[in-house]
Amino acid sequence: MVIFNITLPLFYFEMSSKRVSTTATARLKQDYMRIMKDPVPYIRAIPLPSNILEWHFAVEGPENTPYEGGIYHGKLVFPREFPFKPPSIYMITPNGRFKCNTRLCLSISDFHPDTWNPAWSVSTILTGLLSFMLEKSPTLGSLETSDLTKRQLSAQSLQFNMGDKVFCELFPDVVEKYVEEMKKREEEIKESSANDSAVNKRPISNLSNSTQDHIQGQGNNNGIFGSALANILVIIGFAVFAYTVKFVLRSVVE
Amino acid sequence: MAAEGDKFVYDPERNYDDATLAQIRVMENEIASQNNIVSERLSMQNLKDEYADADDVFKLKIKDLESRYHYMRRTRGDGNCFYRAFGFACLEMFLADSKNLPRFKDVAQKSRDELVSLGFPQFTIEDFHESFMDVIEKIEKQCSVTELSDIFNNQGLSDYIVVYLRLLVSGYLQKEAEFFVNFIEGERTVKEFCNQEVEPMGKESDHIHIIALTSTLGIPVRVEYMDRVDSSKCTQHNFPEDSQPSIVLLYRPGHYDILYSR
Repeated sequence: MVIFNITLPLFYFEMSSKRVSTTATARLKQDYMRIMKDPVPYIRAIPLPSNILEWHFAVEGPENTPYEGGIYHGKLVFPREFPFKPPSIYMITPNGRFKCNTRLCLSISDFHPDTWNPAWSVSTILTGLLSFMLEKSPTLGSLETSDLTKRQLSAQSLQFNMGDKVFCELFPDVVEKYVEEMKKREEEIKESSANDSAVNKRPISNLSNSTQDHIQGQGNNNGIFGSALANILVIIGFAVFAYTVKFVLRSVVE
Repeated sequence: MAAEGDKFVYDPERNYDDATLAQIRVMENEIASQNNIVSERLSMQNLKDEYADADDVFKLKIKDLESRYHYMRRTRGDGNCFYRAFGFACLEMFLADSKNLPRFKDVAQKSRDELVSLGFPQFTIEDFHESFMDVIEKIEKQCSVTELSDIFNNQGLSDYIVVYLRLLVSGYLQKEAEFFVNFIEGERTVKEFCNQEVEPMGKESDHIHIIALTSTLGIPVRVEYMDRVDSSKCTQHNFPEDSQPSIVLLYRPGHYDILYSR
């Protein structure tokens, strides 16, 4: 599990041993410290530095699901009355399971304050969201798409997130990882093209000389050009010879 | 919002959740602006005034209450009134007589691990538990009734206490699930019942909640029922039945307040 290694504004860590106020802010600070210490599998979450009531999260698509390889950005918006009232949940990255930028109707979201348990933490909410994402049961704000669509969206997700300023600010390590991945991919492509010619050359030494000549003749531009040049020289030679013969014969006849 | 006189027509294609939530919020704010979470001590005259235009059934019952009780405290009708009334009355009782406070504190202290072992998230349980213990420690140090009242009228602190009491009820019901499953309506497990009817804020309490809370804390309570039942006196019920409670709550359908004996 990736642990945050970003420097955070100091106020997140200002925690008195005895709680002075039991507001949403105090509780969310605790939630944040908890989630850093004990991260939720596949999910990272972080509050906006300017507003602790708005958290952004990045869900990493789990293996063996249509979401594998994708990174899904979303946000939680907490009410002032948190934890007595639940947050609203939004997805931002197109994912094929939930509509984007629409409040989702889950038992853990603000559509159901009547089933919300104040003992649930941000971790509980995100775990619940992920398990609901992996299911197929419909709800308000859900979509029905094929696995193929989900896979396509998963492949496009990183690119999409790169265009989101908040995402790039809050998850610089994901972005960095993405940039590195792209570099690696490019290098791999380069390397594989270089490897292609190497692959062609490697088995040659095991083959007989004639075959080797044949392959080299085919694969080598110089060879083709060389043999053409030789042929031309031969033809020119012939022409010169023919003219000489013609000239000698004429002079003999005269 | 539909104008007055407009007939409401249900549109099955429309989603009313947002409108419903907005409406609920307006109602909550209205209730909050009109009442303290837990009121001052009020004379029984206050209750009398409320029923000035009511029929004789209520008037007789108020007279009966007046003969036995001196004061009352009103609680806000937000669905948490039982927990608020019980919690306040219980802690106020310990301010007057701290004999049983150490035992109560001990029960409260141990409850945290029991709840965690039932699968509630540890750190949030700790959070609620800690603030509950903070209040008990204040009682131990003999804070004033005004201080206690201030705690209960601070929305955040007050709700933290309510949440912990709800968790205690849920914990007890789940621990004794085999027994309580017989008293649960509908095709629900005890756990489902707790998820739906105990843990969420604002869910009203029934007998089963009262039995659970009084049992788990070992604090008996008497409830005076002031309803439409044709009788000149309020019906009393003690939880548990054979106890001699020092806490008395007044029940009117859907609501609990605190009563103080003469």
